[in-house]
Amino acid sequence: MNALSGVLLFLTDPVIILYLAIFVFLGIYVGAIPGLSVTMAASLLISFTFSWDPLSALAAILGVQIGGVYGGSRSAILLNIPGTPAAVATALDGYSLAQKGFASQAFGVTIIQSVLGGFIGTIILAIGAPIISEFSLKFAPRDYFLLGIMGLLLIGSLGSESTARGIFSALVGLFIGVIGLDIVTGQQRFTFGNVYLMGGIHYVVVMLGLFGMSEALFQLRNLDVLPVKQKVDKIRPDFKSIKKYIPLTIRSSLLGTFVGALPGTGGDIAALMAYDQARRTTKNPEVPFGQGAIEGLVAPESANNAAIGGAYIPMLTLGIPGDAVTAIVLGAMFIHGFRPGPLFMTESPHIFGFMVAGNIIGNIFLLIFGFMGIKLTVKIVEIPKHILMPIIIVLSVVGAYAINNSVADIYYMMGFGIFGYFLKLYHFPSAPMILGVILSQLVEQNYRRGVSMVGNNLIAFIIDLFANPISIVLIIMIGLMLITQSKFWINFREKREKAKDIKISE
Amino acid sequence: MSNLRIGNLHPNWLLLIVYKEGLEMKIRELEKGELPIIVSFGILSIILLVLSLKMYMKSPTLSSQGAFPLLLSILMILMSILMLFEIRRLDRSASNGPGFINLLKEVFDFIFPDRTAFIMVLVIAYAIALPKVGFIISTFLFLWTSMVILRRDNLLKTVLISAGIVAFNYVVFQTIFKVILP
Repeated sequence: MNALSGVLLFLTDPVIILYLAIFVFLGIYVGAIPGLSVTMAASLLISFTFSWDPLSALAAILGVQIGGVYGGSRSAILLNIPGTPAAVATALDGYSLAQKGFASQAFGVTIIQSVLGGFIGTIILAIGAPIISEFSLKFAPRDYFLLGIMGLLLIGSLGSESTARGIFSALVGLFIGVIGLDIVTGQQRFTFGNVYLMGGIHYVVVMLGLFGMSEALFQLRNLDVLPVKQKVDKIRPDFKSIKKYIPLTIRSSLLGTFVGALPGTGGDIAALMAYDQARRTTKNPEVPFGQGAIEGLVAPESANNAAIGGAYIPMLTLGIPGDAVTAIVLGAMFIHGFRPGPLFMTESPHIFGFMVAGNIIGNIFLLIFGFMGIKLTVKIVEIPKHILMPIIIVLSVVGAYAINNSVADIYYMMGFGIFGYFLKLYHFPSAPMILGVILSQLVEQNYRRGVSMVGNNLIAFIIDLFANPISIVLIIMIGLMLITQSKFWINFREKREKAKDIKISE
Repeated sequence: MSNLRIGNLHPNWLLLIVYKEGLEMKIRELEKGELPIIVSFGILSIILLVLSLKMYMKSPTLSSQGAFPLLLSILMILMSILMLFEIRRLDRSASNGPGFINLLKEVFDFIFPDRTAFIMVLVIAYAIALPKVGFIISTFLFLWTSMVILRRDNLLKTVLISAGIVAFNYVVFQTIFKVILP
């Protein structure tokens, strides 16, 4: 089987196409509801699609991801509340446009840009993944260890107010992944004699707790916040602006794909960076940024959808997910017996073709559904939280039970839900923890292989890290990341910025 | 995410990390109960260190089963110390009065504002009831009581909504998703 047969697999199975369509549609509305994130939807979906045939399950999760990333922009424009983190930048100009009475135009721009970004991201995935995959065969265990560390450092430092908290969260995740029987020696680790813990804590249980239940509990804290709504009638595509902004679309999509492809960074950061890039490069916007500039919608919306394709590159070729949602897709692929990693492209090229085709077709469905159902969105975002949030808790319970049909999983999920509530309350990010749980095995096994290859000698391991071009590049990247996050660097930058400001004012 | 200062983003991706300097840490106050939480994370890390060390001592090589957990727990302790240093810079939020009991009450009110404490209790009750009375009854009761507690709506309306949701869940999960319900 080759990649092309995977594409055909998609095109010739109407059931799979139907699933994709349904879940793109559902994804748009899940993404639009503030408080329901794509990550939450994807983790619930994994547990519900356990018994499905693998390809249908993959198509469903892919659909929710494509629809959800776009859907977040709907509530960003309508209510000034980004439905998903990836839509934070969209709210800046989208809501201003809506306030001025141009909500329909804003919707038109975001849908077209999301689809264009999605296409560009997928094309780069199709071209880039085989190249990276070939290159990844040269990676030694120590390099995988370093890559895993890099991903955790990136997600740990970017998603939270404090790097220490992000990294702590990632470490807790790695530790949770260690619980259970050791793969190498078969001995119990941190199980405390508990039979259930011997098999380890399933990452879907952790996901459902941290992203499903804890989100729902946290949303209950502000039940009575009623957003101000905008009036919207019909969405119209604006062909003139599509043509006008095509260079910006391409630039933002490329940036989005690149940021998405970095292990640990996803659509939210891609969108913010693209927004910033647009603001710097657009010399004379018709409307200033932040007050309803179309450029301020084009850049983040094309970038966050392009980031989906980008995030799939390291996930499929190295087994290292680009962000939390891709981490969940990685988990889903493991569950259904696919092994993303360096051998993925040679072992299952048809699944790669399937994913690429799914991304393209999913974006076509997005284009179709994006112009519909705006009145439904207005209604759906109005569903009161006191009804919605208990439902999410029930869904998390059903999902946790579905994994192994074990009540113990429900208790662990609830435990993680309450733990996640406390984490959120005290400003600890939960995404690094999930990435930690999923990457734990990869990081540990590669670390252990790496040190045993040099005779369990620490000094030899360190020398080995600096004796190989790939490792050196990775170490330099990790080093730069650590330096740029240090207080010293931030102080240095602040001083430099101040000096610049003084010069300008003189 | 709302407090991001987007202007601080640097076009160079390696420097994009710098944008976290615009995050809320410098702006916000120390949350009530934040110090005890970080201290307890530190204590947890120390306990894990002791357990990992015990495991490591059984076969003290770099690739043994205890080595990686040992490394993780050391880093966790380091991060806890860093977190303690970080919160020193934050202003303390105003207290309503002196006394330990008052402080406890304030922390409790912060953690469980409004009716969230009831929902937490309900969630635990739901977990206990689930294997005993089955999915349909326990879920219906959970949904109905939480809706009533969260907003004192029309009783009949909430009964209908809860029953509708349970029925919908039952049909969708049993038929479409083929999931076995608890």
